[in-house]
Amino acid sequence: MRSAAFSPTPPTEPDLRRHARPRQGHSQLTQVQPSDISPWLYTTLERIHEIEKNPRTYPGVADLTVKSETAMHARSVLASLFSLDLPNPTVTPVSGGALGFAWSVGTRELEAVVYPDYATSFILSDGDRIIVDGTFEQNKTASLEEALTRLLRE
Amino acid sequence: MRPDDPGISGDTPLLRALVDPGWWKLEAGVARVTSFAFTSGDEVSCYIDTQKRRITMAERYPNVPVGRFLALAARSLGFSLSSDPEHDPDGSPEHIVLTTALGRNQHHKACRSLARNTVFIPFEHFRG
Repeated sequence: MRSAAFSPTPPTEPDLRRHARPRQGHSQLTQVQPSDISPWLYTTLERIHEIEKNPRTYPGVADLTVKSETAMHARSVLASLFSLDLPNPTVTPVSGGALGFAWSVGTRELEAVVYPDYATSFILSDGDRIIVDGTFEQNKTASLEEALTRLLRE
Repeated sequence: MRPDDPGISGDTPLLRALVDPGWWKLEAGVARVTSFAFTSGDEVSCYIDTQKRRITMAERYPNVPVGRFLALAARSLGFSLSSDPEHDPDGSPEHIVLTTALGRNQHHKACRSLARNTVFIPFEHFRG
Protein backbone atom coordinates (compact mmCIF):
# COMPACT_ATOMS: atom_id res chain seq x y z
CA MET A 1 0.00 0.00 0.00
CA ARG A 2 1.52 3.31 -1.02
CA SER A 3 -0.62 5.75 0.89
CA ALA A 4 -1.92 5.98 4.39
CA ALA A 5 -3.72 8.48 6.54
CA PHE A 6 -1.71 10.29 9.15
CA SER A 7 -2.95 11.59 12.45
CA PRO A 8 -2.81 15.36 12.90
CA THR A 9 -0.17 14.90 15.59
CA PRO A 10 3.57 14.69 14.86
CA PRO A 11 4.63 11.43 13.30
CA THR A 12 5.31 8.74 15.84
CA GLU A 13 7.98 6.13 15.35
CA PRO A 14 5.37 3.51 14.40
CA ASP A 15 3.96 5.97 11.84
CA LEU A 16 7.35 6.50 10.34
CA ARG A 17 8.14 2.81 10.33
CA ARG A 18 5.00 2.22 8.30
CA HIS A 19 6.22 4.73 5.71
CA ALA A 20 9.87 3.78 5.77
CA ARG A 21 11.57 2.53 2.65
CA PRO A 22 11.98 -1.24 2.64
CA ARG A 23 15.58 -2.32 2.99
CA GLN A 24 17.08 -4.01 -0.01
CA GLY A 25 16.50 -7.71 -0.03
CA HIS A 26 13.73 -7.49 2.53
CA SER A 27 10.03 -7.68 2.00
CA GLN A 28 7.93 -4.63 2.77
CA LEU A 29 6.67 -6.41 5.84
CA THR A 30 10.16 -6.67 7.29
CA GLN A 31 10.76 -4.67 10.44
CA VAL A 32 12.71 -1.56 9.44
CA GLN A 33 15.22 0.50 11.37
CA PRO A 34 14.91 4.25 12.06
CA SER A 35 17.79 4.80 9.66
CA ASP A 36 15.54 3.55 6.86
CA ILE A 37 13.07 6.41 7.31
CA SER A 38 13.16 8.95 4.48
CA PRO A 39 14.80 11.99 6.08
CA TRP A 40 12.90 14.42 3.87
CA LEU A 41 9.55 12.93 4.87
CA TYR A 42 10.31 13.14 8.57
CA THR A 43 11.44 16.77 8.26
CA THR A 44 8.47 17.70 6.10
CA LEU A 45 5.92 16.16 8.44
CA GLU A 46 7.45 18.04 11.34
CA ARG A 47 7.24 21.29 9.39
CA ILE A 48 3.58 20.70 8.50
CA HIS A 49 2.84 20.10 12.16
CA GLU A 50 4.62 23.33 13.09
CA ILE A 51 2.61 25.34 10.54
CA GLU A 52 -0.66 23.72 11.55
CA LYS A 53 -0.13 24.45 15.23
CA ASN A 54 1.04 28.04 14.74
CA PRO A 55 -1.65 29.78 12.64
CA ARG A 56 -0.76 33.29 11.56
CA THR A 57 -3.04 36.03 10.32
CA TYR A 58 -1.82 39.25 8.75
CA PRO A 59 -4.76 41.68 8.42
CA GLY A 60 -4.90 43.13 4.94
CA VAL A 61 -2.35 40.61 3.64
CA ALA A 62 -3.15 36.97 4.29
CA ASP A 63 -4.65 34.39 6.59
CA LEU A 64 -2.07 31.60 6.87
CA THR A 65 -4.20 29.33 9.02
CA VAL A 66 -4.01 25.74 7.80
CA LYS A 67 -6.90 23.56 8.88
CA SER A 68 -6.15 20.15 10.33
CA GLU A 69 -8.05 18.48 7.47
CA THR A 70 -5.78 20.17 4.92
CA ALA A 71 -2.66 19.29 6.90
CA MET A 72 -3.82 15.71 7.20
CA HIS A 73 -4.46 15.49 3.47
CA ALA A 74 -1.03 16.95 2.72
CA ARG A 75 0.53 14.29 4.96
CA SER A 76 -1.33 11.64 3.07
CA VAL A 77 -0.14 12.98 -0.32
CA LEU A 78 3.45 13.12 0.89
CA ALA A 79 3.29 9.70 2.50
CA SER A 80 2.48 8.24 -0.89
CA LEU A 81 5.86 9.57 -2.10
CA PHE A 82 7.81 8.00 0.75
CA SER A 83 9.90 5.76 -1.48
CA LEU A 84 11.45 8.66 -3.40
CA ASP A 85 14.88 9.82 -2.27
CA LEU A 86 14.07 13.54 -2.26
CA PRO A 87 15.85 16.52 -0.78
CA ASN A 88 14.10 18.40 2.00
CA PRO A 89 11.45 20.69 0.50
CA THR A 90 10.60 24.21 1.51
CA VAL A 91 7.22 23.99 3.23
CA THR A 92 5.16 27.16 3.14
CA PRO A 93 1.67 28.22 4.14
CA VAL A 94 -0.10 30.13 1.39
CA SER A 95 -3.15 32.38 1.48
CA GLY A 96 -6.50 30.74 1.89
CA GLY A 97 -5.34 27.75 3.91
CA ALA A 98 -3.25 25.89 1.35
CA LEU A 99 0.23 24.40 1.81
CA GLY A 100 3.09 24.85 -0.65
CA PHE A 101 6.09 22.55 -1.13
CA ALA A 102 9.17 23.23 -3.23
CA TRP A 103 11.93 20.73 -3.97
CA SER A 104 15.10 21.97 -5.67
CA VAL A 105 17.77 19.97 -7.49
CA GLY A 106 20.37 22.10 -9.22
CA THR A 107 18.52 24.66 -11.32
CA ARG A 108 15.37 22.57 -11.42
CA GLU A 109 12.50 22.98 -9.03
CA LEU A 110 9.21 21.26 -8.37
CA GLU A 111 6.50 23.29 -6.69
CA ALA A 112 3.36 21.62 -5.38
CA VAL A 113 0.37 23.22 -3.71
CA VAL A 114 -2.11 21.19 -1.66
CA TYR A 115 -5.41 23.09 -1.42
CA PRO A 116 -8.12 22.86 1.24
CA ASP A 117 -10.49 21.23 -1.26
CA TYR A 118 -8.07 18.26 -1.59
CA ALA A 119 -6.82 19.26 -5.02
CA THR A 120 -3.08 19.47 -5.68
CA SER A 121 -1.32 21.37 -8.46
CA PHE A 122 2.36 21.07 -9.35
CA ILE A 123 4.93 22.57 -11.71
CA LEU A 124 8.34 21.15 -12.58
CA SER A 125 10.55 23.88 -14.03
CA ASP A 126 14.09 24.79 -14.91
CA GLY A 127 14.50 28.54 -14.65
CA ASP A 128 11.86 30.14 -16.85
CA ARG A 129 11.09 26.87 -18.64
CA ILE A 130 8.20 24.72 -17.44
CA ILE A 131 9.05 21.06 -17.99
CA VAL A 132 5.77 19.56 -16.86
CA ASP A 133 2.78 20.61 -14.82
CA GLY A 134 -0.40 19.02 -13.63
CA THR A 135 -3.17 18.79 -11.12
CA PHE A 136 -4.96 15.95 -9.38
CA GLU A 137 -7.69 15.32 -6.86
CA GLN A 138 -7.44 13.46 -3.59
CA ASN A 139 -4.55 10.96 -3.51
CA LYS A 140 -4.10 10.29 -7.22
CA THR A 141 -0.43 11.18 -6.96
CA ALA A 142 0.98 9.19 -9.88
CA SER A 143 1.59 12.29 -12.01
CA LEU A 144 3.33 14.09 -9.13
CA GLU A 145 5.49 11.06 -8.40
CA GLU A 146 6.49 10.92 -12.05
CA ALA A 147 7.37 14.62 -12.04
CA LEU A 148 9.44 14.23 -8.88
CA THR A 149 11.25 11.30 -10.46
CA ARG A 150 12.09 13.55 -13.41
CA LEU A 151 13.29 16.22 -11.00
CA LEU A 152 15.78 13.72 -9.59
CA ARG A 153 16.74 12.11 -12.90
CA GLU A 154 17.12 14.84 -15.49
CA MET B 1 -14.24 35.94 -9.10
CA ARG B 2 -14.85 39.65 -8.54
CA PRO B 3 -15.38 42.00 -11.47
CA ASP B 4 -12.29 43.79 -12.69
CA ASP B 5 -12.16 47.47 -11.79
CA PRO B 6 -11.12 49.45 -14.90
CA GLY B 7 -10.37 52.39 -12.62
CA ILE B 8 -7.16 50.60 -11.64
CA SER B 9 -4.97 51.47 -14.60
CA GLY B 10 -2.44 49.03 -16.01
CA ASP B 11 0.54 51.08 -14.91
CA THR B 12 -0.60 51.07 -11.26
CA PRO B 13 2.23 49.65 -9.13
CA LEU B 14 1.06 47.15 -6.52
CA LEU B 15 2.76 45.82 -3.41
CA ARG B 16 2.46 42.35 -1.93
CA ALA B 17 3.85 41.92 1.60
CA LEU B 18 6.03 38.79 1.68
CA VAL B 19 5.06 37.70 5.17
CA ASP B 20 6.44 34.16 4.95
CA PRO B 21 10.09 33.32 4.22
CA GLY B 22 8.87 30.76 1.70
CA TRP B 23 7.39 33.54 -0.41
CA TRP B 24 10.81 34.49 -1.65
CA LYS B 25 14.07 32.67 -2.30
CA LEU B 26 17.61 33.19 -3.44
CA GLU B 27 18.17 32.09 -7.04
CA ALA B 28 21.78 32.32 -8.21
CA GLY B 29 22.38 34.83 -5.43
CA VAL B 30 19.43 37.00 -6.41
CA ALA B 31 16.30 37.28 -4.23
CA ARG B 32 13.18 36.40 -6.19
CA VAL B 33 9.53 36.20 -5.27
CA THR B 34 8.07 32.68 -5.41
CA SER B 35 4.68 31.68 -6.75
CA PHE B 36 3.62 30.90 -3.16
CA ALA B 37 3.31 34.65 -2.58
CA PHE B 38 0.41 34.69 -5.05
CA THR B 39 -0.99 31.18 -4.90
CA SER B 40 -4.17 31.12 -2.92
CA GLY B 41 -7.11 28.99 -2.10
CA ASP B 42 -9.10 32.23 -2.22
CA GLU B 43 -8.11 35.86 -2.89
CA VAL B 44 -4.74 37.62 -2.84
CA SER B 45 -4.41 40.97 -1.09
CA CYS B 46 -2.07 43.72 -2.17
CA TYR B 47 -1.83 47.50 -1.97
CA ILE B 48 -1.38 50.36 -4.40
CA ASP B 49 2.18 51.59 -4.00
CA THR B 50 2.22 55.08 -2.47
CA GLN B 51 4.68 56.66 -0.06
CA LYS B 52 2.03 56.78 2.64
CA ARG B 53 1.16 53.14 2.10
CA ARG B 54 4.81 52.13 2.38
CA ILE B 55 5.04 53.83 5.75
CA THR B 56 1.87 52.10 6.96
CA MET B 57 3.03 48.69 5.74
CA ALA B 58 6.51 49.12 7.23
CA GLU B 59 4.98 50.04 10.59
CA ARG B 60 2.46 47.24 10.48
CA TYR B 61 4.88 44.53 9.33
CA PRO B 62 8.43 45.49 10.27
CA ASN B 63 11.24 43.54 8.62
CA VAL B 64 8.88 42.09 6.02
CA PRO B 65 10.10 42.49 2.42
CA VAL B 66 7.63 43.22 -0.37
CA GLY B 67 7.08 42.30 -3.99
CA ARG B 68 6.22 45.05 -6.47
CA PHE B 69 4.39 44.42 -9.73
CA LEU B 70 2.17 46.25 -12.17
CA ALA B 71 -1.58 45.82 -12.48
CA LEU B 72 -1.05 45.14 -16.18
CA ALA B 73 1.12 42.11 -15.40
CA ALA B 74 -1.58 40.59 -13.20
CA ARG B 75 -4.37 41.31 -15.68
CA SER B 76 -2.44 39.85 -18.60
CA LEU B 77 -2.22 36.58 -16.68
CA GLY B 78 -5.96 36.35 -16.03
CA PHE B 79 -6.37 38.09 -12.70
CA SER B 80 -9.11 40.60 -11.95
CA LEU B 81 -8.28 43.52 -9.70
CA SER B 82 -10.76 45.21 -7.43
CA SER B 83 -10.63 47.61 -4.53
CA ASP B 84 -11.50 45.97 -1.21
CA PRO B 85 -11.54 48.48 1.65
CA GLU B 86 -13.65 46.14 3.82
CA HIS B 87 -10.73 43.79 4.44
CA ASP B 88 -8.16 46.46 5.22
CA PRO B 89 -7.69 47.25 8.92
CA ASP B 90 -8.04 50.96 8.14
CA GLY B 91 -10.71 50.60 5.47
CA SER B 92 -8.32 51.84 2.81
CA PRO B 93 -9.43 51.78 -0.85
CA GLU B 94 -5.76 51.18 -1.70
CA HIS B 95 -6.33 47.60 -0.56
CA ILE B 96 -6.69 45.60 -3.78
CA VAL B 97 -7.61 41.95 -4.19
CA LEU B 98 -6.63 39.69 -7.04
CA THR B 99 -9.14 37.06 -8.03
CA THR B 100 -9.30 34.67 -10.94
CA ALA B 101 -11.60 32.15 -12.55
CA LEU B 102 -8.66 30.09 -13.80
CA GLY B 103 -8.56 26.40 -12.98
CA ARG B 104 -6.01 25.16 -10.45
CA ASN B 105 -3.32 24.32 -12.96
CA GLN B 106 -3.59 27.54 -14.95
CA HIS B 107 -3.85 29.49 -11.71
CA HIS B 108 -0.63 27.99 -10.39
CA LYS B 109 1.17 28.78 -13.65
CA ALA B 110 -0.22 32.33 -13.63
CA CYS B 111 1.05 32.81 -10.07
CA ARG B 112 4.47 31.57 -11.11
CA SER B 113 4.55 33.99 -14.05
CA LEU B 114 3.39 36.87 -11.88
CA ALA B 115 6.06 36.05 -9.31
CA ARG B 116 8.71 36.13 -12.02
CA ASN B 117 7.43 39.55 -13.08
CA THR B 118 7.56 40.87 -9.53
CA VAL B 119 10.49 42.82 -8.13
CA PHE B 120 11.71 41.80 -4.69
CA ILE B 121 12.30 44.79 -2.41
CA PRO B 122 14.14 44.17 0.88
CA PHE B 123 12.58 45.82 3.91
CA GLU B 124 15.49 48.21 4.43
CA HIS B 125 14.99 49.56 0.89
CA PHE B 126 11.23 49.42 1.00
CA ARG B 127 10.72 51.56 4.07
CA GLY B 128 12.57 54.37 2.23
